[in-house]
Amino acid sequence: MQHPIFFELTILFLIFFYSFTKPYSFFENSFIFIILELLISSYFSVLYVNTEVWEVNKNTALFVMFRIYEIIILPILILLFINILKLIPRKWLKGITFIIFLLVTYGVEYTLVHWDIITYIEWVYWKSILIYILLFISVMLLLKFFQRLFQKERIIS
Amino acid sequence: MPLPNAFDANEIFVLICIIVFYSVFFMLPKRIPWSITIILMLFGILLARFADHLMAGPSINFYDIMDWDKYELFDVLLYLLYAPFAYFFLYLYERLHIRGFFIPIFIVLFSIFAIVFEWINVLFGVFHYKNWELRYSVSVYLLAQVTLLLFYQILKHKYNKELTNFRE
Repeated sequence: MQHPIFFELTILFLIFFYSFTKPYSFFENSFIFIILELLISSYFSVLYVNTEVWEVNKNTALFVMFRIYEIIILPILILLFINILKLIPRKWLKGITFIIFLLVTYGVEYTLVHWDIITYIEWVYWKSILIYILLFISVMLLLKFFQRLFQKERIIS
Repeated sequence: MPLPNAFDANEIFVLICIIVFYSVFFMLPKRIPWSITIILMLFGILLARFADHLMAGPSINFYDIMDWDKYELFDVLLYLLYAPFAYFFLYLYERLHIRGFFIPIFIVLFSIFAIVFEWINVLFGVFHYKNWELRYSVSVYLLAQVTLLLFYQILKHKYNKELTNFRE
C-alpha cells in the first residue's frame, strides 16, 4: 500500500484534535463540523464529478486516502484553526494565524497532488485558497447567527 | 451545478414533499430546544449526504439521484427533505416517551416507514437503482437512525449539563 504514513498521521492528528482544549462549546463545534462536512462534500462533488477540473486517482488505496482527506482531515483541520483563532487575543496575530491556516490547508492538498491522489486538470492553487477563504467566512457567518440562538437558550454566555 | 434535465414528476414530488414536511415541522409544538433541533436536522442531512456520496458517487455507483449522475440542484433540495424526517423521528421518540425495550421496536417501525417512503420516491423517479435493491436500504436506515438517536442523547445530556452550569 502506498503512503502508509498518511493513515498514521491522520490518526495522530485526530488524537491531537481530541486532546486539544477547545474554546468553543460542544454545540458550536458540532454545528461547525456538520456545516463544514456539507459544504466540503458538495464542493468536492462539483470539482471532480460535475466540472471534472480535478481527477481523483482510481487506485483503491489512493481513493480511500482522498475520502479520508475529504471527510475527516479537511473539516477537522478547518475546525481546529477556527478554535485556535478564538484563543488568540490580538488581531494581528489572528491575521498571521489565518495565513498559516491557508498555507497548512493548501499544503495538505498539495501533498495529495504530489502523491498523484488528485490531478489538477483545469485548476490552479489560488482557486483552492480562495475556496478555503470562502469556506471559512461562510462558516463564521453561520456560526455568529447560531451563537445568538444558543445565547438566547442560555447555553453559552 | 446543473439544472434538471426536465421539470417533471420527480422534481414536483420533491417540491411537494418539502412543502408538506416543513409545514408539518413548523406546526408541531416544540418539544426539543431550537439549538438541538437545528444541529439534529443538519445531522440528518449529513447522514443522507454521506450515504449518497459513498454509494452513489462515481467510484461506487449503486444508484443515481434525480435526472443526472452528477450533483445537481435538486439533489440539494432532496437533502432538505431529510432534515424534517430526522426531526419527526426524534419528535415521536420524545412525544411517545420511547424508552428501554421499545426503542428497537420504534427504530424498526420507523425504518419500515422510511423504506415505504423510499419506494414511493423510486416510483416517482427520485432514485434510479443500478446495483441496489430496496431491501438493502433497511440496514442503512437502521444504522442511520441508531446513529441519530445516539447523537441526540449526547446532545441532550450536554444541553442539560450546560443549562445546569449556567443557572449555578
